[in-house]
Amino acid sequence: MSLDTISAEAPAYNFAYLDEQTKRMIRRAILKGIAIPGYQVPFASREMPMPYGWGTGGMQVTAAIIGPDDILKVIDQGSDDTTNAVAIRNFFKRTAGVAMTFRTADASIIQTRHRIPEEKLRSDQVLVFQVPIPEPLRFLEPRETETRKMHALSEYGLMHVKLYEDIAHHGHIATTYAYPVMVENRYVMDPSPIPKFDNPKLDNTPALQLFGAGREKRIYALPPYTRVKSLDFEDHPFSVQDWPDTQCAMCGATGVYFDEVILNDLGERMFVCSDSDYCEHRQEAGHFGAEHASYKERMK
Amino acid sequence: MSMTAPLAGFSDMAIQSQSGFRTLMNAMARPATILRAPEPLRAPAPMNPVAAMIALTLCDYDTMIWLDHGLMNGEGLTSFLRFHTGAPLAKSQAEADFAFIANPRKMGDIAAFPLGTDAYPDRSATLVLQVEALTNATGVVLSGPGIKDKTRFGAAPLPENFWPMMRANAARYPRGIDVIFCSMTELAAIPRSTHVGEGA
Repeated sequence: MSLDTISAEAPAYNFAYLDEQTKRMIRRAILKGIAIPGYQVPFASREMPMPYGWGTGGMQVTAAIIGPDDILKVIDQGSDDTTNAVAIRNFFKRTAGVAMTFRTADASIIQTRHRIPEEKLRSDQVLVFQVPIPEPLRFLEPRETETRKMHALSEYGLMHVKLYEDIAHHGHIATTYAYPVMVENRYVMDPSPIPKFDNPKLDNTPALQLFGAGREKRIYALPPYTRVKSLDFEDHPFSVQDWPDTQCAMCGATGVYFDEVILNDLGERMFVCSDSDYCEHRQEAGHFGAEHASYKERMK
Repeated sequence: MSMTAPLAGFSDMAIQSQSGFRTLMNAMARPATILRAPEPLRAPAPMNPVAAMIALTLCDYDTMIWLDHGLMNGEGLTSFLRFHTGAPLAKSQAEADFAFIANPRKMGDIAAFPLGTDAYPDRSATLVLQVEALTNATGVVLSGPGIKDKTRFGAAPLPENFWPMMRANAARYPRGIDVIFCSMTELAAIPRSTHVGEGA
C-alpha cells in the first residue's frame, strides 16, 4: 500500500486497533487466566478511544482474540441496539472489519455488558465480559495488598460475613447482581455485574468465558466445564430472581430475565425480555405476548 | 564469518499470530485436546515448526526465553529468535517466562522453572515441549477445568518421571508451570489446573 492510498482512507489502524506487542501481552495474560481459573491476572491495560467504564477491558480482550473469520455480537444489558453495544460494534467494524450479528447462535465471540444470553452457548463460542470492579473483596477491603493476601490464602471469611450481615439486616442475602462465586473451590470471583439470575449459567458451561477490566487492569477467565458456585449458606441457599405469573409482553416468554418498562404516568408497566435477540427470535417463530400488535389482532 | 539472513517469520503478523494464538487459547482452555497447529514456521533445527509459531506468537522483549541444550546450540536459532521476537535469552531456568525444550527426555525437574508465588501465581513459566507424537487413545487420565468428565492423554518421548512431576505440579496449584506440547503439526496443552490421574 502506498502512502497515497493510506492518506485517502480513514486513519489506518493495525487489525483490531491494538498494536501487536500489546496483543501479545494481553494474550499471555489470557493464557495465564485460563490456567488459573478465577485468578485476576494483572495486565498493562491501554488507553482505548473510549472512556474507562465503557467496556475498555472487554474491548481489549476482544481485540486480542478476534480474527478475520470471527462473527461478533455485542450486547449491553442483553440488548444489541443500546449505546454501548452500538459503539463497540462500530469500533470493531472499522478497525477489524469482521462480520457482525445480533443472533446469539451465529456469533463466535460475544462481548457483553452485564448479561449472559438466554440461549445456551456452545463450545465454539467465547463470551467476553466487560468488568468495572474485578475485585470481589474491594468494597470490604480497599487495600490491594490485603485482598491479594486473602486470595493467596483463599481466606474469604470477610465475604461470608458480608453475606451474613445481609441476612441479619434483610432476612435474606440481598445481593442481586455481581453476586460473588467460588471457582473450582479456590478463588472467589466477581462475575461482573450480571444479575444473579445469570450466575448458574457460569457453571460448567461449554463456552470459554473471559473477563476484562480496563481501568482496574485485570483479566480473568473461566475455561469451559469449570465448577462455579454462588456463595451461600446451608440454611440460606443461593436462589435466583423469579417472576411468578409474568410473561414477556412482546413474546410471551417465561423463566427469562425481564426488563420492567414503565408505560405511562399512571404507573402502568410491562415486562419484556432483557435479551432482545431471544425475544425477537421467539416473535419470528410466532410467539406473541399481551402487548404485541399481532397478539391484539388475534384477540379481536 | 557467515552473514546469512534469518529465516522468514510471519508474512502477515497480525493475522497469522491471531490464528496461532486462538489455537493456543483453545488448547489451554480444553486441556489435552489435540489441535492441528496453524501457521507452522520453518525455523533452524532443532526447533520444530509449531514451537517456532508459538515463539513468534507469544514472545517479545517482555519475555525471557530459556532454550534447552539442543536448541541453544541450533545453528542460527538464537539469532532467528532474537531477530523475530527481540526476547532476551534466560541464563538459567529460574529466569524463564517461556522455556523451549527440544529434548524433553533430558528436561530435568520442572520445579527448576519459576512457579509463581501464592500472591502472584501468574509469574510462572510456560514450557513448550517438542514431542514426536500426541494421543488421546492411551496415557494418563486427566480431569479438571476445561475437561468434560475425564480424558486420556499421552505424548512421546517424555522422561520417565514426567507424569509424577506433573502430579506434583498440580498439587502446588495455584502455583506451577503450564505445559504446551507440540509435534510437527499438532499441539495440546496441560495447564497447572489439570488433575493428573493414574496411567503412564
